[in-house]
Amino acid sequence: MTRTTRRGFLALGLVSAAGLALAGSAEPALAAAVTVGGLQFDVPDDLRPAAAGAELGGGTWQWRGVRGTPAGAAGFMVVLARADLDSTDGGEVVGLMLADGLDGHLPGLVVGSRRSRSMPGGGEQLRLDLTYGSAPRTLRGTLLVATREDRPAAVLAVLGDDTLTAGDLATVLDSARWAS
Amino acid sequence: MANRRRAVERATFRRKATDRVVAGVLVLVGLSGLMSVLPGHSQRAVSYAGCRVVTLGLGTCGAPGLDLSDTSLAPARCPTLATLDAALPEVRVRQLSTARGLPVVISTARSGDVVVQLGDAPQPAPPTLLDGATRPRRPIVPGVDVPAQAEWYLPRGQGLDELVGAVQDGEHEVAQNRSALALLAGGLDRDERTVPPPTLLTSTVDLREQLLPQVPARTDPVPPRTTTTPTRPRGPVRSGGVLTVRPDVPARLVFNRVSRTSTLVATLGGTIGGRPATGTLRVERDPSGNVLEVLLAVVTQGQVVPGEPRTSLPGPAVAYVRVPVRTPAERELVGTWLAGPSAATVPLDELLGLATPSADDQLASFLSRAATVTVLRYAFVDPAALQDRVTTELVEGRRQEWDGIRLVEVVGVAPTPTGAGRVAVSDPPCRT
Repeated sequence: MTRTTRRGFLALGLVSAAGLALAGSAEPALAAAVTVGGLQFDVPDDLRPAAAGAELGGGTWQWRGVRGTPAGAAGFMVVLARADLDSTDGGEVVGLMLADGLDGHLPGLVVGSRRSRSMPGGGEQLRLDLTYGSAPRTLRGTLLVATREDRPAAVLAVLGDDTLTAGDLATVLDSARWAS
Repeated sequence: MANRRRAVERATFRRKATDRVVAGVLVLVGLSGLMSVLPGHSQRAVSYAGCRVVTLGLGTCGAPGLDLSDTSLAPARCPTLATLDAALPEVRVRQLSTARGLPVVISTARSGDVVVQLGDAPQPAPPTLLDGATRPRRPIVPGVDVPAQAEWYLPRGQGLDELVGAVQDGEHEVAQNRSALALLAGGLDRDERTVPPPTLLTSTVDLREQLLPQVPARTDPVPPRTTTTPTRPRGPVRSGGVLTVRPDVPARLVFNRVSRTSTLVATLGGTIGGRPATGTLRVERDPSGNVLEVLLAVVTQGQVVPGEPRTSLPGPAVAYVRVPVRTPAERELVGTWLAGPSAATVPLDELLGLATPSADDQLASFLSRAATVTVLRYAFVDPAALQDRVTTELVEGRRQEWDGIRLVEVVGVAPTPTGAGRVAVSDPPCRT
């Protein structure tokens, strides 16, 4: 191997290493932005859009993303979003969301703490922790209801099995904002 | 000579004219004095009419001209009905009209709380918000519209004057804008009030529609229930009767923007002692979704509670059952009861059968300790008509005397600290 050839291979290796380093140092696609009506939020990049189905929520949601499968061993997470509710009151939206429990759709429902805070872009958001189902088959997560003086209101639901982490919840809920 | 006669005639004419003016003033003063013996609202009406004439219909003329002061409601006919006021307050309903004919319906409870409805035109059905429907608006007067299926709840009647005044200001503004002097009047009169947003909003909910994801089905075998199972088995458990939520009938959700509570009203169907029965279930929740109160109304023919005095008159009865939920433990118990794996059922053995609850049945023990039952029996009424009326009462959260229908008997069952030994007691003042 001549010196020129050896230097050529070395240069090629350096370029390849630099390319890989540059690719690795670029901002990782950890979250993808989703817009639903006037609502914007980020979701983990391993969440994929899904079609409506009983196991993934009713058909009135405007956007639905899922990771894993509901009946899978673990790792199930679903994000549901809509921004078309003609309401200005978070309490009214919570009442609507829990109503179908009377028909057995939220067995063993336990509502947790409620937190209110201002919503980026205006108005306020209400977060409500909830759990339903019976062990070992339970779903838990947080309901975010965003309201402002101008209708419509928006709902963002992040639910999953026991593997759902606080980081997963924060990625979605803390990024929620009004885009318009 | 002729000049002197004309001077005398002019003087006589001036005296007569002066006399007439003085007499006219005296008549006005006399009429004003007589007005003082009229009721306040009549005085305001006369003043309002005079003002409207003088200002060519363009003045705001101050007072609304409606008698909003008379809100008294006679005491309940008997103590048991007074107790029912805590669950479903009786109201006195008055329909008034503004100067331009807009009906204002004012329902006043004994507590002084007021609910106002504006206009009497038929309203569209409550919107199904979860389907993305929007709440339609309806004009109450030309140029002034409000959301449909909405009312104004005013605690202790506070804000009633302002609400009615704002409606009349709206009417007045429309009249001004139609007047030939609209430009002048609009420039001089800029302090009109706007109708405040309603505080009671009603919507429709399809209970069959699942919103949140379904819980994954179990793959492992379900362990058999035992007598020590902490949660109550669902479905008919004894022979007294059971009512089940009917998801095929749309439910109503009423949100109160003052108390920030939502009440869900659903239809029930089932049997009592083998007889068909219908009913209505009302669940009140706070903004966190916690249950605050359950109110149940059961309509059936024949005896409703054991020990209820038999009456010779045919007619159905309605049993109102109020269950307040106060502590976190009670909220969890009731929450588990209402949110089961199938449509919620109402156990009537303990609630209406007055059976002593089993020691290991926490829900039955709680219900029999907390429930207050009031049975109203009517004469010659179709049970379906009674059921319709009861459903309307639970949606509106108020009731009134049924004109033209005889209330035969009122029976009450008070809660006891242990849930045992409850008895049905007829209230003689309400027996007719």
